[in-house]
Amino acid sequence: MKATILYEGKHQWTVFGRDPDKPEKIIDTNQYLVSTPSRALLIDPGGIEIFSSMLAATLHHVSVDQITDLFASHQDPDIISSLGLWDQVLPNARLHSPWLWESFIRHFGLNNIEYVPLPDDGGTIDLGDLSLQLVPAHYLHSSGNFNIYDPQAKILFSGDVGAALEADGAPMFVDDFDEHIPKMKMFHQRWMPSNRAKNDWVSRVRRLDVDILAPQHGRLYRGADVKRFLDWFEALEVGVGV
Amino acid sequence: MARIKDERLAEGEVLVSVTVIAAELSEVMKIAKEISIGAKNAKAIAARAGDKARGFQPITNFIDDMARHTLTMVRQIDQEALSVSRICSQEIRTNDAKRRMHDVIRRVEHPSLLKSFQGVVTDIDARLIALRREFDKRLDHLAELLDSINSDMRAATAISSSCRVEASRAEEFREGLGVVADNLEQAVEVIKKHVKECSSRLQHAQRLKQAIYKK
Ligand SMILES: [Fe+2]
Ligand SMILES: [Fe+2]
Repeated sequence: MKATILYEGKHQWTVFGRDPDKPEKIIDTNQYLVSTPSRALLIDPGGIEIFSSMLAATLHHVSVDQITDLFASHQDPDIISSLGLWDQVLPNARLHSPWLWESFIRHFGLNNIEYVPLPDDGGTIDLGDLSLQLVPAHYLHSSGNFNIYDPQAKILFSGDVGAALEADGAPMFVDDFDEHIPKMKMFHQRWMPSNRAKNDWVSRVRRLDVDILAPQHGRLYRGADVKRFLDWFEALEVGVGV
Repeated sequence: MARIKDERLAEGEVLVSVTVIAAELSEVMKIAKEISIGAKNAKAIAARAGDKARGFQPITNFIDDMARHTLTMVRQIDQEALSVSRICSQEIRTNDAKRRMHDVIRRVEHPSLLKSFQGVVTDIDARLIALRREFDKRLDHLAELLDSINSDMRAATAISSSCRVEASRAEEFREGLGVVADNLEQAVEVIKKHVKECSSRLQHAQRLKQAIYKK
C-alpha cells in the first residue's frame, strides 16, 4: 500500500491508499494516520479485505502500542468493516464514531475496543498534545457523519465528500480540477442526499483555513483546488442521481 | 484422516455440521413429546383395563420418564450445539485474524518494525489454543449427550417388546395397547435415525477439525 506524508511537524499526517493487493471490485479507499511521538489515530481504517496491507503499512510509521485511537466517520463497510480484526490487535484502543451508529457498528465485532459515541455537534479528539476538531457532516452522505479538521496542519479529512471513482493506481492529488469533475460528479449526485446539508457544510468549511482537503476515496485537493471544489460542490444539485 | 483442500472452507463445513445438529434435534424433540403424550394415553387405557393390564402400568410410567429424560437431553444438546457453533465462529474469526497477522509479518520489510507487534501475535495464538480446547471439550460433551439419548432408545426398544407381551395378555384392551407398543417402536426408530445423523455430523466435524489442526 502506498503511503504519502501530508504533513510533518510536531505531529504527522500520512495517507495510505492505492493498495495493489486490493481485491478487484472493492472500491479503493484512502486511510489516514495522524501520529504524535507517543500516540496515533487511524482515520477510517477501512474494510476487512485491506486490513493486512493497512496494518503492515501502518507499522512502517508507528508501533502497535502507539495506536490508541480509531475514528470511523460513519458506518459504511469500506470505512470500518475491519473493526473485528482491529479489536483483536488493539484491545485497549478507543473508537470515535457517531453515537447514531454505535449499535450498528458493533455488528462488525467489537469486544475489546471502547466505543466513544460522538454527539451530533462534534467536539474534539484529544491525542495528548494534539487536539483535532470534529466537524459535523451529517447527511454527507451518512445521516450520522463527521469530518476531522486539524488547524495546525490545515488538513480537513472530508470523508466521502470530495470522493471520486478512479482507475487503479491514480495519483494522490488532483492536478487538473476540470478533468477531475467527471470522476466525482455521479458520486456526489447519487450518494449525497441533501442540498441543505451540503450548503450548510460548504459555508462552515469556507470559514476554516484548509490547505488540503482529504477525502476517503480518490485524489486529495490542495491549494486553490480546495476552493474550486467548494465552489463546484455548492453549485451542484445533489440527491438527484435517480 | 480427512484431507482438506481449503482450510477456510473446511472451517465453514465444521461450523455447518455442528449447527445442523440443533436443527436435526428439533425433530427428535417433537417425537419425544409425542411419546410422552402417548404414554399418558396408554396410562389411561391401562387404568381402565385394571387387572387385565396390571403389568402395563409401570411400563407406561417408565415410557413417560424416558420420554421426559430424552427431552431434557435434547434441550441440553440444543444449547450445547449452539454454544459449540458460537465457539466455532469465534474460532474462524480468530483464525482469520491470525492469518492476516501473518500476512502483516510477511509484508513488513524490516523485522525490527514488528517488535511491538509480536505480543499481538502471541496473544492471538493463545486465544486460538484456548478456543480449540473449549471446542474439543464441548464436542466431547455433545457426543456424551447423544450417547445418553441412544441408551434411552435402547431401553425403549426393550420396553416396546415388553409392551407387546403385556398387550397380548390384556384381552379386549389388546388392540389399544398394541398400538401404544407400535407407536413407541416407530418413534424410537425415527429418533435413532436422527441421533445417528447427529453423531455422524459430529464425527465429521471432529475429523475435519483434526485435519485442520494438522495443517
Ligand atoms: Fe460512505
Ligand atoms: Fe466511502
